[in-house]
Amino acid sequence: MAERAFVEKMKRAGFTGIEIVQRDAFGVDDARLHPLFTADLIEVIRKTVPTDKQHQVATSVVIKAHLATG
Amino acid sequence: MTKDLMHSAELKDLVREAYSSVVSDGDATATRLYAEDELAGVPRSAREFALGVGNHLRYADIQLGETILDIGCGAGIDSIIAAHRTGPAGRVLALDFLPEMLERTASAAAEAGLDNVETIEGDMEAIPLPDDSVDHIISNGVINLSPRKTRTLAECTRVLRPGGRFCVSDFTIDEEDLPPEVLTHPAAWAG
Repeated sequence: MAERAFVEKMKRAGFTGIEIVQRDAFGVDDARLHPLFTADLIEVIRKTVPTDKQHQVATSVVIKAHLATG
Repeated sequence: MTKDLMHSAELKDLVREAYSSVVSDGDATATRLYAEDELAGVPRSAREFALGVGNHLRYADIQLGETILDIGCGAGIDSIIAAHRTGPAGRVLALDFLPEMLERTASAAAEAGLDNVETIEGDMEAIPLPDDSVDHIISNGVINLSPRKTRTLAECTRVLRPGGRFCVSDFTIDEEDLPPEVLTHPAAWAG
């Protein structure tokens, strides 16, 4: 999911004060440690994503928000 | 019966299979994401199955006595750090849909000497908690696994008390940067 879509869904759910407080590149070597990135998906990424883009196949974000106090 | 256009069951099966078969990476993920002082008080068993994607707890202003909900607690690393911070007057509700992950969290909490971690088996799209019952939601690399993210986020706002806080780490992707072969992979659908 794209960051803007995540933020938009949070707004629609009723969150306020939404902030992305950290963004980090998540490269193919990081992805190897994550269960969702199966061996076959890693292989597809290595074959289809240009080498110079493989350091960031996703972004790890930290998102903060809160509910209104009512 | 409503047709499941999201292929929700298939995606959940894929996630279940991926996480059920996970093997320890030693503590590579834990030491990449957390400082040594943050890991103090976290048993090795929880460190060795850390599956997160970031360190949101650096930004989560957890107060003593709060009720924290950890969505997708996994082997428990974030639940345990949060339990230390909220203290004995607070509690951590560690939610996961995989019983084997909940067993790991419960075991690690016991090993850490924490009695304020309560494991809950359930789905983040239908959180088995009452309305307005949680002060703070944390989660690490899990909400992206929900086939119905809008529903999951609505559940978060339902269980949070007014003024409640939400601090999560997760993946985002820029679809324009990834080729169709990656975007159409089943794992990418789950994410």
